[in-house]
Amino acid sequence: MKLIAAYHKGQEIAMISHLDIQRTLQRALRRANLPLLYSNGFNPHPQFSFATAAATGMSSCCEWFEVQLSEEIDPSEFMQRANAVMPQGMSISGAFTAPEQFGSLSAKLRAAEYRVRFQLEAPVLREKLDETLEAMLAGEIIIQKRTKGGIKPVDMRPYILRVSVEQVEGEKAALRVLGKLQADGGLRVDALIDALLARLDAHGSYEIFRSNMYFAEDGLLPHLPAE
Amino acid sequence: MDQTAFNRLLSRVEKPARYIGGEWNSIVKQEADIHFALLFPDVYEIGMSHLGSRILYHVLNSVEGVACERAFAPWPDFEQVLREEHMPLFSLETKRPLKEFDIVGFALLYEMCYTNILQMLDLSGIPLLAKDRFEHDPLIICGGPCACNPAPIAPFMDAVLIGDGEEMTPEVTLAVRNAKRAGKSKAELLKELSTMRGVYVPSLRTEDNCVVRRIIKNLDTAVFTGEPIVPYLGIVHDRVALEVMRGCTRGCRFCQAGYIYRPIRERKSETLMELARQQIGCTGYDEVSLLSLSTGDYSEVHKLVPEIIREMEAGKVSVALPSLRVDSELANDLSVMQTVRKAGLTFAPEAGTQRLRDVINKNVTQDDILRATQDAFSAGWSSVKLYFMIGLPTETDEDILGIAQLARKISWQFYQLPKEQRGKGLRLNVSVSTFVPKPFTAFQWCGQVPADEIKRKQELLRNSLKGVRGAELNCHYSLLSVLEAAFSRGDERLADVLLRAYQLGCRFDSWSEHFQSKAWAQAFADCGLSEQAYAQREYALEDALPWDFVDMLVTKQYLRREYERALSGETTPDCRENCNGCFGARYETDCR
Repeated sequence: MKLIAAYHKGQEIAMISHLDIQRTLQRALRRANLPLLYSNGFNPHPQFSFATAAATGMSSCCEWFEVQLSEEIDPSEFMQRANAVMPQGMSISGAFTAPEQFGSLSAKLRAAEYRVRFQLEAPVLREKLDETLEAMLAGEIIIQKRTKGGIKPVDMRPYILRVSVEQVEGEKAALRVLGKLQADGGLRVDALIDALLARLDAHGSYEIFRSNMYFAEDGLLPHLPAE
Repeated sequence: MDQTAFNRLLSRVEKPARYIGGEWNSIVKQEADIHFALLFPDVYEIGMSHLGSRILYHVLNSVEGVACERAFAPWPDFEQVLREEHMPLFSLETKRPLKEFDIVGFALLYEMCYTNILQMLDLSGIPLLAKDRFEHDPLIICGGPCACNPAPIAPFMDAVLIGDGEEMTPEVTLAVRNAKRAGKSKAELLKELSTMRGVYVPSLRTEDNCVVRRIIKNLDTAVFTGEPIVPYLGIVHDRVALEVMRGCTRGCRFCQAGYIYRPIRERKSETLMELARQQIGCTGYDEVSLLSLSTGDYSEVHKLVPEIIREMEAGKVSVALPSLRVDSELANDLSVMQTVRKAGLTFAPEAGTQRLRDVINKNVTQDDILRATQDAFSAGWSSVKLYFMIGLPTETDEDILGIAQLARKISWQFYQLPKEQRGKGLRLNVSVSTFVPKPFTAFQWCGQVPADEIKRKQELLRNSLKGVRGAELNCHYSLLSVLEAAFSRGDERLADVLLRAYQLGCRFDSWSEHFQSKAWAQAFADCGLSEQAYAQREYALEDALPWDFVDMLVTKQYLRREYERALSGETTPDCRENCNGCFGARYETDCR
């Protein structure tokens, strides 16, 4: 059977790379003694696949993945057993059994929502932030993207669905960003934020938290209400 | 510091996971009477691969009231962050600054990590030299194989623990707790520590005192690693490691481990099976490795190996068998099970001629090797790695040419087989390192061969290997082996060199990208010393040696006898056949 589940990546493990997270999850499920289905060959490994990678530095409450199991298991039991052996900051926050012919998560992925919290070096005014953002969204947002063929300019604007300022308080600010995210590309939130800081002529650091992942509509996974 | 601020700092380094802690099975004690910081003076991925530290972590945390936490040498990018932020080095478990611990203990596995001891102390704001430290500073101790010649690092240490740490380390820790409770001074504490077997207190050294190595007699009942930490980061040995036995009976005359871990002590096969189940269960690892100096000599190898492979296979766990000489019986076991990947075969003849192999007491013959490679090639293997050393005592050019001759015979053997019976192309890797004489070996009196001569020998070998089909020579000259030789047999004057080298920016010396040969040369010169002179120093048999006050149980008389036998090309049999009397009469009972 195929099980679809989401894991939570807490702030304490935000700095761990996706590769390390994958291995950690795999080992946790082995500790839980769950009936993982292994590939054949000399080096059998459990079969996982992730909707998308969780970038180093980002925390999240909604990292969807699928795992193949060799026996039927109740999703709530799966969650319970897995969560009993998870390291700090990591947990399974939802799981369900995939129906037949479910297809892959990465092919269904459409968009994600993020919360970005800033810590700036100097206070910023709400009006200025709103204005800068509005002006930025009115045109192209060119970033330099590293690809196989070298560094290439890419317009991020088409990937942005919505950006709103949530809070501004002195040096602190918070944004909510909704961006396209698909197997063939998506919004690079960090690049967007860097571009925004440059236009604001502001310096500081920020943290990105993925609050939602949205999929093509089929009733089982979260999807964009507007879609 | 809150998590957000901490993550912000970590976002400035290449591998943040080295510093975050919180791994599965790591132990966080909020309350404890005594705080022990277990330090490994190299990067996380190396330090976490060290089995001994994992044992001590478990042993110490098992003691009520003791909290043992870890720290590793910060990579230069993180060192820079710490300095810029004026942040002291901290433990992974509670992020407590190391200066606030009661005891800071270093694991010393190789000489070229010494500058990182200074780096870690310095970044903690702890005075480097023991004599400059105050009453409130942590007690700085160390242990591990390098502790057998403590001279070069002694001035930095309050105490050096020599020998097996399983019992000694908690004893020292409890003594520190008791002294703390009773309000005793550091001087009183050190005096008490100096009476324990295995503990050397440099500040209390007198001409006639002697430190006797500590051992645990029964490995089977000794504590192991408990529930081992499962790192987030891929580490060098990322698997369950089971220590099958400690010690080795072969008696290779160059091998320090072979002498300083005597006598041989084994874990029972059932104990190991039980440990394998328990450790796989609580870690989720998918690989188990059987560790020892020579697993092929383990008395229950024919029982354990097939059994563990069979049982682990059911849980999709693979078994790694390093240091295993595959004899025919075992090869049979393994091939029946079809689980062994045809990874490379490795042999360590160490020397190119039988004469020199007899000198070093490496009791393997050319026929043994050729028989094994013949079997392997016929069974489809096509990758062989051979390890040699050059610069061994009594070595001549004939011995160097012998390496090439052996390689040529192996290559010929492979290409003699009909095409359909052998693998695609032979990969014969000839790996050659430079001999480093070590204390407590039969060659402790010998000097290292000078750099120019090593380079000439390497060139000779390179030329004589030309035309050997499939052979690939892996050897390079490095000042590193000279420094290793200088420090392994060094005296206390080298502590000044270490300090100077650290000031000049040396750290992570075993990492080629960080090794600064010019700074090292300058450090020696600034102290009026020469690394070449230290490395090449030859001692006469009756000379006093800087490590003479340490009693590693194998007697100096025995080593001397072995040295004399080496010079006359006489071999010494495996001591399981017959006791060779290496402990003399005094500590005979530690062996039997």
